[in-house]
Amino acid sequence: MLDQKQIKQWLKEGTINQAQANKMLADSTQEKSNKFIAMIAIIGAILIFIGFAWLIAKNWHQIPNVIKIMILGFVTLAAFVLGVFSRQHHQEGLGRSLITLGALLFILSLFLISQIYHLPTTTQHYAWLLLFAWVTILITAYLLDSPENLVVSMLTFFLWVFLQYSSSVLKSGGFRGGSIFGLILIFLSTGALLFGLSSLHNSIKHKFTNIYRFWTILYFLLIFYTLSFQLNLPVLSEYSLKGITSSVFLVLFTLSCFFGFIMGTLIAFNKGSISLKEIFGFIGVLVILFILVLSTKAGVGLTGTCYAKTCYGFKTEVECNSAPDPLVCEWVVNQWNPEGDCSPASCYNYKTEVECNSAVTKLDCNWENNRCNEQKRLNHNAYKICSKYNNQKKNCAEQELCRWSYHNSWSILKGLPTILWLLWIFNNLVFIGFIVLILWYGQKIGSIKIVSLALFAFIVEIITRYIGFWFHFRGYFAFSILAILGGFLLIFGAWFMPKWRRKIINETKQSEGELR
Amino acid sequence: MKKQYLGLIIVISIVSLVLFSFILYNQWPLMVGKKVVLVTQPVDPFDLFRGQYMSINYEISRINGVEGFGKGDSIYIILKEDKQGIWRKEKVSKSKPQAEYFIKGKIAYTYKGGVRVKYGIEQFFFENHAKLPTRNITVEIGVTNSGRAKLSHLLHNGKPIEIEYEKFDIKS
Repeated sequence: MLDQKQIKQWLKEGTINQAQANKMLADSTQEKSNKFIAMIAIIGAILIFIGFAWLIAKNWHQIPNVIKIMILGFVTLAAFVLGVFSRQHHQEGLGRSLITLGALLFILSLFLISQIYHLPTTTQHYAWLLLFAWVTILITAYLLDSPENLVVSMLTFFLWVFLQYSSSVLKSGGFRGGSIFGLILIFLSTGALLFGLSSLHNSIKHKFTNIYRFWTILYFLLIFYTLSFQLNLPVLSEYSLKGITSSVFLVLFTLSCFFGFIMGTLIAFNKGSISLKEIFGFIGVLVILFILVLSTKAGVGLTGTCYAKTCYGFKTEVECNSAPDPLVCEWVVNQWNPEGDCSPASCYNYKTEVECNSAVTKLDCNWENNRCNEQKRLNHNAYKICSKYNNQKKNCAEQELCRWSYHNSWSILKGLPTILWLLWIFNNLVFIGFIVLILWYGQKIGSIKIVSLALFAFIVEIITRYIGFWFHFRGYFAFSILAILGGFLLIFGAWFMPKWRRKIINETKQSEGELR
Repeated sequence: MKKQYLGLIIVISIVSLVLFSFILYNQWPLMVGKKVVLVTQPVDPFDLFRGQYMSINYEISRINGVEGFGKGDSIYIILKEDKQGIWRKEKVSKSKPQAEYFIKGKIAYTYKGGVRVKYGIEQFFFENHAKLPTRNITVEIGVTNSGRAKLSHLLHNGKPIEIEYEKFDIKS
């Protein structure tokens, strides 16, 4: 897009005449106005979507189910029809927002139908709904030439991938070991697919090229950003190669993504729209990410909490009855738990003197004032015993009484092991290196959006690390130093950033002009 | 221009087809299936997207005295009607039985001497803040010949349940 300053400069230099300048200025203003109208209308579409979502959640009984479906179905189709007609009548912004509204209402229609038929509330069921949603919306995006629907479809796709994988992982006992490694594979292969699609669209000069390119870069920036957090390193370090092939979804999804990547880049390479250097550059990014993730293993078991086991964790009667000291557990079978459950034993559960006096000796019960009382509390000691092994996975695992959890990563705020500090610093340097790479790439292809995205990522990185330091260094002295440093940083940023941004954007515009 | 209209026609056809197929798939057991009444043990949580619902446990959700099943396996419960018109478990089968009345479920988990089964009919959505009895509830369902079940409606003491709705208020 041309700006007024540039046009005036060209007019002054004599590159263009007054008539051309007037036309260019009018086009430039019209384009800005169209974009603004489209943005406002899309916000309107999102508001309507939220309104309908709340109406569905309210589930009014006054409206019969058939009418509910007919209203939503009709409004969905009407939005698509009106959207296309508006575009034909040169109402581009309105048309685009109506088509997006159609896509959003389609998602709600699926949820409404699943509400009416009382369908399950499981992760797997939501994954099915989102699968229907993203595939259908993707088709509408291409057939109706709607970039917004492509974005909606991509967002729904990301959510679907996560829910579908979570569903298969939850069936096998939660996110740990092989499941974490599987998640890493899913993230990387999704990135590879996005790159393949981006290259493919570029090779056929498709309108959606810039959207795919932008989202591919945003996606990788987000992955690098995730790795720049100290809290995530101990979680990632728990990955394991055991059990990763147990999920059919993982295998099929990863293979499909890499197939998409290979096909996309191969077609693009044959058409000459991508160089070998670019392909190897992208593979290099993937390899670096993979190495960063694998390197977290160096810090495995160095942070985490050593919890005491509880009676509820024992799933069989034998395990329950032989719970380690000082736990006192009993296997309870009653009408609510016909298959039995392990619960903490307590003197208060005994209602007669005979039961009270014959309770296990460890409990030390005493019949007094017509009730069974506890002489001393035993289970609270378990917490103290295990907490001694915080941040010591190996020692914790050796205790029969204790169980290790890497989830409570807040414990790292009390002191991060040196190896994780080094990894964290390295990850942040790599993240900044990636931002610089994106800045260079944005300038190379003349994309202001990509350059702005990279600049935004840089600002987010600085702010995030600054907040991180606040968390780490608490106390009066650190508070004052960080506040002063933050102040200087903001003042410097206020002077430097706009200048820097202007310079880079101007350079990008020049290369955009050269590319034309 | 024609291309856009052709695209629109295809989009309308696909969107309508997906919605209609989804409705038909869920309506089918209620249209052609046999009516069966089951005993329940309900509680009521909330779903972010679909509002308030009652989570229903059935008498046949826990089946004791069966072995050889693993998590995720299919299980067929052969049903028999008692004198009160309630359908109860008669037998259990690993493969599709020849019996006329049976329901298909999936093993959610196993425990010593039994299994926990899910049939996909464990939730009933109703209007937010509405009140309904939670005791003596039975559920009428439709079951296809393949054993696929869909919840039709709730019964209280054998009669259609009376739900107490909140008075309409713009602030509700």
